[in-house]
Amino acid sequence: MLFNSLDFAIFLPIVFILYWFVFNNNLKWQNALIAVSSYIFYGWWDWRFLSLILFSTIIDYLIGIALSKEYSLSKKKILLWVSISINLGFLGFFKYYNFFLDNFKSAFSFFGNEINSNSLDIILPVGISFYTFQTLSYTIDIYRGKLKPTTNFISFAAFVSFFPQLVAGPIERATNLLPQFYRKRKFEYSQAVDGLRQILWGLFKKIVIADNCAEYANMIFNHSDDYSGSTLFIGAIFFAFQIYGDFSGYSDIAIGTSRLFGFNLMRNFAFPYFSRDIAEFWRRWHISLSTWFRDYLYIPLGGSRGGTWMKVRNTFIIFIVSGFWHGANWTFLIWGFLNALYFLPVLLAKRNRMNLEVVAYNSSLPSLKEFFNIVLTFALTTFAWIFFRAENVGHAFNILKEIFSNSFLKIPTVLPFMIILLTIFFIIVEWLGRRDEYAIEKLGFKTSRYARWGFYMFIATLIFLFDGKEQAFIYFQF
Amino acid sequence: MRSFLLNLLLFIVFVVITYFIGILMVGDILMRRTNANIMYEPESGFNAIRFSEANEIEELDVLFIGSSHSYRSFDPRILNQYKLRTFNLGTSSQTHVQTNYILNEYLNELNPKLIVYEVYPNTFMSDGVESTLNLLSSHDMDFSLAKMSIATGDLTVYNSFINIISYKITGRKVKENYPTEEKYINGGYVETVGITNFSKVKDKYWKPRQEQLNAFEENLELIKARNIPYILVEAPYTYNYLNRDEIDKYLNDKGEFYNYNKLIKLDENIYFKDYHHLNHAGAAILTTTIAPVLVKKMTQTNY
Repeated sequence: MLFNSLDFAIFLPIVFILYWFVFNNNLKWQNALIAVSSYIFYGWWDWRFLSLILFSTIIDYLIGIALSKEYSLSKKKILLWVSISINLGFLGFFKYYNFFLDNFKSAFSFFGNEINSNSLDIILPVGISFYTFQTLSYTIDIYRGKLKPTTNFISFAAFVSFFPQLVAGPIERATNLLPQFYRKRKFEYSQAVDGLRQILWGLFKKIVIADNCAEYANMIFNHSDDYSGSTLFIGAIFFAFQIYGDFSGYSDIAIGTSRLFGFNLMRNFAFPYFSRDIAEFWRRWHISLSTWFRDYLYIPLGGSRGGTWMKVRNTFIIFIVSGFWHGANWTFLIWGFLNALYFLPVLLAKRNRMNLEVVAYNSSLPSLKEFFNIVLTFALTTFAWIFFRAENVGHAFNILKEIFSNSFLKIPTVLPFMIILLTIFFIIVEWLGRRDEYAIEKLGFKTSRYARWGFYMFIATLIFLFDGKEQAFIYFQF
Repeated sequence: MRSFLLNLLLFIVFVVITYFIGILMVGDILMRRTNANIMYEPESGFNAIRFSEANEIEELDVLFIGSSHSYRSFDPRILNQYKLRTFNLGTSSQTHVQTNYILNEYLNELNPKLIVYEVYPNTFMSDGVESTLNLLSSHDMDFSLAKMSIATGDLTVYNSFINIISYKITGRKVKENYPTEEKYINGGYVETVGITNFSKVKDKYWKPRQEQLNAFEENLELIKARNIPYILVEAPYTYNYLNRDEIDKYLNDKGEFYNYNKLIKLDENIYFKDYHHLNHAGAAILTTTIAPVLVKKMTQTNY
C-alpha cells in the first residue's frame, strides 16, 4: 500500500479510529491492532511476503529470549550468528542471488569456462533491507547487553512490522521503538497536529517535487543518447531532487503517521542539500542507515580508534557496503566508492566534524563561503547520483562523457518552467525551516492562525493541482 | 481528541472549498500557463465533431469502436464503395472502460448490424485516464461520465472534471487545436496525409489490467445481449508483443479475431504516421482488405 494512494487514505483513518476509539484503554489490543494493520498494509503488495516477515519475527523473538537466558559467551555468539545468518541469508537470496550468479558466470566465461546455471525469477520483497536491519539491531543489542528481550510476541511483531516505517524506514533501533510498545499511549493534540503537518509536507515533497522531477529525470536518463550534456546535467539535478523528495517525503509521512498513534520515530533527514561538506551531508542524509552502519559495522571494525589506515579502510568499507545495501548493481558500488572518495580529504584533514551546526543559524542567508561550499557539496553529490540512477556503469559513463563535452554549453532542451518554479519554492521553504525537525514544523508560528492555515491549504491545493504521475517510492526497491 | 477531529474536519472542508474555487476561478489560466494537471485541449481525435455527427445518424451497417487505431484505420469512403454505411466511434486512447460508456450511450440509437471492435493490446494495459480526459473535453456531461471520471481515482481527471463545470457554467466551448495534416472525414475517420519520421520502439510485454479485461468482457456481453454480431480487429503497428501468443489466445477465445499485423505486411516507411498509427495510404490498404470480410460477415448474418 502506497502512502500516496487512495487505499492508504482509507486505511489510515480506519486504523486511527479503531486505535483511539475502540481499543483506547487496552495496550495489548492497541499493539495487536498495529500488528494486524501492518500485516494488511504489507500484504497489500503481495500476501506471499508475509510469510517471510513472520518467519523473521518468530526467529528473532526466540533468539532474543534464548540470548538472555544463555550465559556462555560462545553459545551466545552462536545464537547471534544464527540470527545474522538467517536474516542476511534471506536478504542475500532475494536481493543478491542473481547478481552474484551473473557475475560469477561472467568471470568464468572471461577465462573460457562456461557455467550453465540460469538466473532465478526472484521477486524482491518490498522493504526487506529495512526490516532486516531493524530486527538485526534487536538481536545485536540483546547480545551486547544494551536491551532486554521482549517476552511479548505481539509487541515484538508490531515493532518489526510497524506499518508507517516498515517498507522504507527510518530503520528504527529496538532500544528506541520497542519500549514505546510497552508504554500506554495517550492521545496528545499537539503531537497529532504536528504529525499531520509533517504528513502534509511529506506528501508535497513526494507528490509535487519527487514525482514531477521523476518524469523529467526518467525521460532524460531513459533516452540519454538523445540529449546534450547540458540537458543531461539538468536531468541529474532533477534526479537529485527526485530522490530527496521521494525518500525524505516518505520519512516525513512515516514519522508523521507514527505521531498520530503516539509514537516517536528517529529523524531520517536533516536538510542534507544545505550541507557544507560531504561529512555533514552524510550526517544529514538517511540518518537511520548511516548511524546503523556506524554502530553495527564501523565501530566493531575499529572505527577511528586505529591509525589513519584503519580509518580510511573502515570508511571505504562502510560506504561500499552502504552502496551494496541499496542494490545488486555495480552502479551502487561505484556510488558508494565515490562518496568514500569525497569523504577521504575531510577525514584525512580531520575536518569531518567541522560543520555540526545548522548552516547560517543566526542569519537569514549563508555567507558567500558557505554558499560556495553548499553548491560544491550539492554538485559532488549530484555527480555521484548519476551512477546511482544509471542503468549500468557504461550508461553512467556515457552520460558523464556527454556532460563533460562541448554539448554542455548548448541551451538545455528540457526546462519545465513550472517544475523549476515549484522546486525553487520548495528550496525556499526548506531553507526557512532548516532549524527545525522538518521544514514547516514551526513555519509561520509567529503569524496568525489564519495565515498558517492559508499556507497549509495552499500546500494541499498544490498537491491536488501539480501531482506528478504516481510513482512508487524509489527506496521500496531497496 | 474532539478539538483535533473538529479542526481536522474544518481544515478538510476549507481545503476542498479552496480547491474547488481555485479551479473554477483560475483553472483555465493554470491549464494554459502552467503544467497543472487540469484538462487539456485535445490535439487530435476530433471527438466533439464525431459525437455530434453520431447524433445525426439514422441508419448504420457497421459501427467501429476502439482507440485512435480505429478512427485512423478505416476509411468510410472506401467502405461506401462496398455499399457499407459505417461510422467510427473510436476515440483517442479509448480503453474498454470508455468503450463501455460509449456503447451504453450510442448502441441503442445507432443500432448497427455489425460491430468492428478494434482491440489494440495497449488499451488493456492503460489506466484509461487519457481517454476519460478526452471524453470530458468533448462529450456532454452526464451521470455516467461523471461516475466513470470519479472511478478513475486520478487527480488530473478530478481537476479537469471541476474545470469542465466552469465551462458549463460560463457556456464556454473547449478549443480543439488539430494538426494541419489531419482532416476529419464524415463517418468518424481521421485522414492523415504524409509520413512522419519516427523512432522505432522496443517490443513490449502484454500485461493487461484486470479492470480492463472485465470491461472488455462486459462490452462483449452487452453486444451479444443485443444480438449484434461482432469481430475483433487489430490494426497494424510497428512493434511486437513478447507474449503475442497469450494475446492471440485470449482474443481468439473471445470472438472472431483478425490480427492485421499478421494478415497484411505494410512498409513502415510508407504506410505509417508514427510507430503505431497508419497514415491515409496505410488506412486505404487496410480498409480495402477488411471490406470484403465485412461484406461477407453481413451476408452471413442475413442482413
